[in-house]
Amino acid sequence: MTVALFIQLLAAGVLLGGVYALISIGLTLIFGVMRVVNFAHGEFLMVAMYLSYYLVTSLHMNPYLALIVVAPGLYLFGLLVEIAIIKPTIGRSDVVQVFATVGLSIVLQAGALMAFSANVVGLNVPIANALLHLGWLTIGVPQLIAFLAAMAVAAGLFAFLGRTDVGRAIRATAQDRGAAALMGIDVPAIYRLTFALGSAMTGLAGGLLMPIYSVSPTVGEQFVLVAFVVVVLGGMGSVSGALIGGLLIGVVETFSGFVIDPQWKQAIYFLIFLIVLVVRPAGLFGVRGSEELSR
Amino acid sequence: MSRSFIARLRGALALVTLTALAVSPLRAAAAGPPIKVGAVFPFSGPLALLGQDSFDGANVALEMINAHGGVNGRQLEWVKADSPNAEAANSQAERLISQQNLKILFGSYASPIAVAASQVAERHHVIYWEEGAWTSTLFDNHPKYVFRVNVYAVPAGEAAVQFAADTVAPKIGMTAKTLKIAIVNEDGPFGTSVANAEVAEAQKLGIDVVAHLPYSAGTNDMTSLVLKLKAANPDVLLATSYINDATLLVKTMRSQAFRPKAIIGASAGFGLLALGKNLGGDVNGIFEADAPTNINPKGLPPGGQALYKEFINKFKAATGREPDGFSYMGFVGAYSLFHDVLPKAKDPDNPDDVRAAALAANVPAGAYPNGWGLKFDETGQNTRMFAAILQWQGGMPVVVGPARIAAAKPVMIPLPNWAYVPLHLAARIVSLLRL
Repeated sequence: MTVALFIQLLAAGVLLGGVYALISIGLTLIFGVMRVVNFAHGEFLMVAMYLSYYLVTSLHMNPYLALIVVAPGLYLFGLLVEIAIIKPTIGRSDVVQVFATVGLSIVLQAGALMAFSANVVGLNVPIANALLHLGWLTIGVPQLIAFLAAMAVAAGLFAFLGRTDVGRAIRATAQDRGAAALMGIDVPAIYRLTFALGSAMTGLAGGLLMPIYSVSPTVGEQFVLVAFVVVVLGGMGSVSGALIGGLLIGVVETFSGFVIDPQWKQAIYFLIFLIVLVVRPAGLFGVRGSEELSR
Repeated sequence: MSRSFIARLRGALALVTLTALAVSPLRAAAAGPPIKVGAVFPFSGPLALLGQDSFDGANVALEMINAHGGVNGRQLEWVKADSPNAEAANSQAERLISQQNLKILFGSYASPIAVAASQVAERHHVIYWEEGAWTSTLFDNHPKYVFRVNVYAVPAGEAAVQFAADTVAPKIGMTAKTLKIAIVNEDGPFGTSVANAEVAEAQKLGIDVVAHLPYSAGTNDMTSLVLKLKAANPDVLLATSYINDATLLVKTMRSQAFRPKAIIGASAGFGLLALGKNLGGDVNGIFEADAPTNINPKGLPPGGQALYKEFINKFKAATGREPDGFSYMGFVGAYSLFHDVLPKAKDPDNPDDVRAAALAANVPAGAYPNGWGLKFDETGQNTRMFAAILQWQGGMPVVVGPARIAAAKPVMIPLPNWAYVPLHLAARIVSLLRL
C-alpha cells in the first residue's frame, strides 16, 4: 500500500466516521440522560432527511441553509413525541419503552411509505457533487462539512453540558433522577428538553446526510445499526465516546474494506465491537455500571 | 311516496339494466363462470411501487382479453393478494388455493415472493406463472407447475458480458482476449446470481476478470471498494446493485477519479429513473442489461407492432403514465397466459391441462410488445426471452441492443473523463457557500 493510498483511505475513513459520530450523538445523549433507548432513531433521521429534501427541491433552499429549518423542526417533533409517547413510559419497565419506540419506528416508516412512496430520492445539487482536490487526495465537500459539523456539535454539546446551568441540571438528572428532583430540578422538563435536543441533533445529522445519501422510507435501517454500535462502543451516554467510537468504526470499516474484502467490512467492525465489549463491558468511555445509575 | 314515483323509478331501473346489457353483450354471452386468477404481488410495503407497476401492465392484458370475449367465452377475473414479502406470499398463496380454490396464481415482480408463492403452488399442484422475478433459483426443486415468461439473472449477466466483448471491446481497440473486466455486485441472491453468470460467461469467452468484489447493499461508504477497483484497473466495470448502492458507487467513482471505459449494470438500481435523478449528467453513458423497454417497434413483425401500439395506448389510458420495463413484463407475462395458453387448454380449471398447453405453446419471437415470444424449456423457463442492452442517454435509458430492436446506437465508448468544475479553492468555497 502506497502512502498516498494509505492517506486517501484514512481520509475516507475519518470522514465516514464523522458521519457515524454525527448520527450517534443524539442517540447517546437521550440514552445517557433518560435511559431510554430510542429504537425509532433511524426513522427520526429519515424524517429529517425528507424534510431537508423537500425544502431543497420545492423551496430551492441551499441544503445547508435548510438546516436552520430542519434542526428546529426535529426539535419540535422530538418535543411532541416525548410528550405523547416517551413520557408515559418513563419509570415503567424497559419492555414498555422498547415496544413504544419500536412501535413508533414502524408507524413512522409506514407513514413515510404512504406519504412519499417507496421511491428512493436524492439531491442532485452542485454542492452534493463538490470535491476538494488536495494534491492526490480527494475529499467530498459534503462529507467534509458533515465531519466538521460533527466536531462542532460534539464540542458545543460538551460546553453546554459543562458550562451552563441547564447543562449542569441535565447532568445532575442523568446521575441521579431522585436527588436532582430533591435539589429543585424539574426532571420532566429536563427530559423533554433532552429528548428534543437529541432529536434536533438527529435533525442536523439528517440534513447534513441529505447531500451525500439518498432517502427512502427505510433509510433509517441503513444507519441505525451502526449508530447503536457506535454508542455502545463509545460508552452509552458518553458524547466524546460517540465521537471516538464513530471515527474508529469509520476507519476500521474503510481499511478492512480495502485490505480484506468489501464484503467483510461490517463483519470486522462487529468483531472489534464484540472484543471491546468483552474487555470493557461499559464501552471505551463509559462508566462501569452507568447503565444502572438511575432507575 | 307516491305510486307513480315508484313506477317511474322501476322504469328507470329497467332502462339502466337494459343499457348495461346492451353495452356489454360479451359479458352477457359469457359461456360459463369467470376464470379466477390469483394476483400475488407486493401491493403494499417497500416493493409496492414496482409491484403495482408490474400488475398494472398485467391488468391491461386481462382487460384486453376480456374485451375480446375472454377465454373461450369465459371472462377473466383477478383475485388480488397483497404479498409485501416472502412470508406474506406464502400465506396468501395458501389462502388463494385452499380457501378460494384457485387453480392459477400469477405474480410477482420480486424474487423472494416468487420463490415462496411458487413453492406453495407446486405443493398443491396449482399453476404458478411468473412475469418478472429475476432469481436463478426458481426451478431449483424441479417444479412441474411453475412457469416463468421473463428474462432472469443468468441471460442478463451473459448479455452484459457479451456486450462488453462484442460492442465495447472493438470500439476501444481490444478483443475479448485482451479485455480486462471487473465485476462488483450486492451480495444478496439477486446480485450474486447475476455476477456468477457474468463470471461464467467471461470464462467462456476468455475474458480476464481482474476483480470480483461482492459487497453489502446496505453499505454507507464505497471508497475502499472503488480504490480496490482502481488498483485492478479494468477496461469495463460490470455492476449489479440496488438504487442506493448504485448511486453511491458512481458518486464515489467520480470522487476517486476512477473511470473505466464502460460501465455495464444489470437492471435494478441501474435501470430506475431515480438513478438519473440522483446522478444528473453523470448517469449518461452507463449501460445496463435489462428487460427490453420502449424498443424500436419497427423491429417487430406486423402482429407484434399492432399489439405494441394497443398495449401502450391502453396502459396510458388506464394509468395516465408511460409503461416502464416492469409494466411490459407484467403485460407480456399475463398476455402469454391469457392469449396463448389458457384458450388452448382443454379445461382451463385443470392445472394439468394448462401445463400441457403451456409446454405446447409456440409463439414466435417478436409477437409480444417487448420483442419476446413464448416457448418453454423442460424446466418451465421461457426460452424466447432475451435481455436488452439499454444505455442512459440524455438522462433516460434507451435500448441500444440487440440491433434489430434498438431505438438508438450505443455512444460514449470509451466514457469521457468525469467532468469536474475547475475552480480555485477560494472561488469554490465561495460558490459553495452561496446561499
